[in-house]
Amino acid sequence: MNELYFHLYPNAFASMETTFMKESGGKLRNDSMPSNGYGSMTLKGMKTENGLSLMNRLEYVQPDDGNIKDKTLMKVRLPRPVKGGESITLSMQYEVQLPKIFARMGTAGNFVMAGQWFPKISVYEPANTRGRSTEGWNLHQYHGNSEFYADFGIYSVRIHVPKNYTVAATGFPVQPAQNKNGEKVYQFYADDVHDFAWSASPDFIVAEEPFSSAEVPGVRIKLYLDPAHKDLKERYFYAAKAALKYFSRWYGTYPYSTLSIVVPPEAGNGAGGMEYPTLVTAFGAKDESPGYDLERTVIHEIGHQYFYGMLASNEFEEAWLDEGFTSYAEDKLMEQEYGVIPSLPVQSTLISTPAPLTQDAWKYTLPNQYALNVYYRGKMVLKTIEQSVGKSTMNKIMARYTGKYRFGHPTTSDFQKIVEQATGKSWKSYFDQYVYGEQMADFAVDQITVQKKKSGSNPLFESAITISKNGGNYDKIPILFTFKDGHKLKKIWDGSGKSAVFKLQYTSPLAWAMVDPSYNIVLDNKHMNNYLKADMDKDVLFRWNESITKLIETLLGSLSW
Amino acid sequence: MRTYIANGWKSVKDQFYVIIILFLYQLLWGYFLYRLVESAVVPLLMRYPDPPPNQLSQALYYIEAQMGLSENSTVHAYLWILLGIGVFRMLLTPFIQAGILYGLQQEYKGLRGLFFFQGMRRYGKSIFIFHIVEWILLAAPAYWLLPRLYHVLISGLQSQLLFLNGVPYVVAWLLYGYIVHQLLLYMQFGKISGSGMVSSLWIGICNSLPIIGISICLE
Repeated sequence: MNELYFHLYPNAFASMETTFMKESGGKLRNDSMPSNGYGSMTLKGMKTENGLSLMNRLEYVQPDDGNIKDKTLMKVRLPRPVKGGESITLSMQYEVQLPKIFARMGTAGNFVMAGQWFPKISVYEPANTRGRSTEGWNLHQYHGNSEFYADFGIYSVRIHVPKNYTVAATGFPVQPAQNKNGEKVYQFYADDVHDFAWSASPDFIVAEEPFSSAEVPGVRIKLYLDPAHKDLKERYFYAAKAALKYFSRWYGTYPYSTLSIVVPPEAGNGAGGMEYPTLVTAFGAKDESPGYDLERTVIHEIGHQYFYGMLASNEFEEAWLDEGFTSYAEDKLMEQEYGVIPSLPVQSTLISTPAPLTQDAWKYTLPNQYALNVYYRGKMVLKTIEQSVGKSTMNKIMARYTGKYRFGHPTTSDFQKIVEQATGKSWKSYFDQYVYGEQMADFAVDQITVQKKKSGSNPLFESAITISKNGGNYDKIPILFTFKDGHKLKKIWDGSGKSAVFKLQYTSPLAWAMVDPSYNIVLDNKHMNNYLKADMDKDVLFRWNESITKLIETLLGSLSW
Repeated sequence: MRTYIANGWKSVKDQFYVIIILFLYQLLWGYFLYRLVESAVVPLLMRYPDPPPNQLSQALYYIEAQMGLSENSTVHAYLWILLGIGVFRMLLTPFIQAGILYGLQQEYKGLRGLFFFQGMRRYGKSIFIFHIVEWILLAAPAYWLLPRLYHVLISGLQSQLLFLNGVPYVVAWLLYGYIVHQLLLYMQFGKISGSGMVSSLWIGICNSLPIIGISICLE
C-alpha cells in the first residue's frame, strides 16, 4: 500500500463552496446553519514513528464530484509502501474549529457535540468485501445527504475540558475524571467500534441506571439531560431499556458495557437524533411534555447500534441498510411497547419520487427524496417481505442477518441471500423491482361498465371491471366489489399480466369497486385510483361542473371579456 | 338620471350586432370551459370514496389531491390551459373594450354604422396600455395579501370554518379592484372622446354614487 486516506469531515463546513454546503444549501432536516457558523479542521503536523514529517505528501482529493473547494477527503503518500502483514503508525496534530450546530456536529452556546472531530481513516476493503472483486479504498467526500462508513478499531481518548463541564463519550471511562491545573480530564476507552464521539456541557443533568435482562448481561445507561428535560428521565430510561432488551433479543446481544444518551439543548437540535457507537442523541429539549417522538427517537438511535454500529454498512452507498432497517425495527418496538402504529398508507403516499435504494446517498437530489426513500421506502420493502413470508420467518431472517454480519460490513445482496436461504426461493424479481429498482406498487380500478342482461321482476346485470397494474409486481391483490343493493363480494387477483377484467353477474348493478380496500399493499403509493364508482347521479355531476365552470368564468370575467 | 339610463338602453339597441358578437364570444368560451371542467372534475368525483370504504380513504384522497397540485402532470396541464385561456382573454379584452367605447362615442355624436371593429383598430393599442396599468394596480396588493391568503388556505384544509378568515381580505381586494376599474374606465371614456382623461375622471368621481347604484342594479 502506497497511500492512506483520511476523512476530514469538519472541512465540510469550511465555506459555502464545499460539496456538503452546495448540496445541502446549509440546511439539514429542519435545521439551518446559524449565521457565520463555519467550521474546519487544520492539520498542523503528521509524522511517522521515526519522526519523518508527511506534511509535504498530503493532497485533498474529490473522487465524487471533482469540487476542488472540497477538502473533506485527504490522501497521504507514504514514504515507503506498507506491505501485507506490516503496519504503520502515524501521529497527527490538528486543530478543529467546530461549526455551529445544524448538521449533527458542532457547538450551540456552551453545548458541544464532537462527532467526526478527528481525521478518520477511510475503509480499505480486501477483495470480496461487499462484493468487490479487487481490494482497494472506499473513498467518498462528505455530502449533504450522506452519513459515514468506517472500520472497526480501538479508541483510547483523553479529553480536557473546563472544570464545570461534564463529558459524555463513546466507550467507558477508564478512571473517574481528574481535576488537573484547573481542567477536568476524562479518559475513555472503546473497542469494536468504528467511530468515537463525545459531547460536553456544563448544564448536563446526569443520571445513570444499570440494566440487565436475559439477553443483556449488564449495561450502564447514562443519561446526559438538558435541564429542560430534567423531569423526563423515566421516559428516556424506559425507552432505552425496552430498546436494549428487545433489540438484543431480536438482533443479538448488545455487547458493550455502556450506552450514553445525550439530550441536546433546543438550540442544538441539529445534533439531535444521531447515532454514534454506544452514544446516541435524542432530539433537542424544547417542549416540556413532548409526544411519542421522544421515545421514537431514542429507540431509533439505539436501533442504529445494530444497523450502523455492529452491522457497519456503507452509508454513502447503501444508506437504507441503516435507516430502512432501523426504521423497521423502530416501528416494531413502538407498536409493541407503546401501541403506536404508523400510518403506512399515508407514509407511502408521501413517496412521490421513488429511487433505487442502492443509490449513492447524495444522488437523491429532489426535496425529501433521501429521507422518503431510505427511511420510508426502505422499511416498507422490509414490511412487504414480512407480509409475504410471515412474522416468524421474518424474525428468523433478521436474526440470521444480524448474527451472520455482526461486526461486518453487509450489503444489500448479503441480505437478499439471507432472505432467499430462509425462504428457499429466489427474490431476484422483488429486489430488482423494489430495492435495486425504483418501483412502487400501484394497482388501479380503471374502468367499470354495467350492462342490463335481463329486465323484469328478476333483473340481471353484468358488471365488467378492469383492474390494472401501473407499478411493480405483487402476488395477491384483494378487490372489493360493492353492488347498489349493498351486497359485497371479495376477489383476489394474482397480479399476472398488466391488467385483468372481472365480469360479475348479479341482480343489482355494481356501485363501486376498490383494490386493496384495507391498504395492506404498503408499497402502493397511489390510493386515489384504488377506488372507482360505476356511475354517479347526472344531476349531481351537472351541479359540480356548472358550479366550478361558473366560478372560473367569474374569475376570468373579473379581469377580461 | 332616468334619461341617461334610457339613452343607455337605446344605445344597447342600436349596437345590437355588438351584443350578438359578444354573446357568441361568451357562448363559445362557456361551452369550452364547461367541457374542460367536466373532463377534469368527473373522473375526480368518480374516485371520491363516499361513503368511505375505509376510515383512511377520504384523508388519503385529500392528501393525494393536495400533492397532485404540485406534482401531477395532468393537473399541471389543466392549470396551464386555464392560465393560457386567462392570458389570451386578457389580451383580447382591451380591443373589445376599445370597440365598444368607440361605438358608443360615435353613436353619441349621432353617427350610425359598424364602429366596433374600427374602434378596435383605432384605439385598441392605447386602451391596451390602460389595461396594463389596471392589471399592475390590481395585482399590487397580492404582494401583501397572497402570503396571508395562503396561510388561510392551508389552515382551512384542516378546518373549513377557518376559510372565513380569508373573506375580509378577498372582499377588500374586490372592492379595491372595482374602484380601480371604474376610475380607469372613465379615463378611457375621456381618451376616446378626446375630452381629456382628467376631466372625465373627475366626472366619474363626482357621479360615483349613481354609478355605483346602477352597477348594483345591473348585477
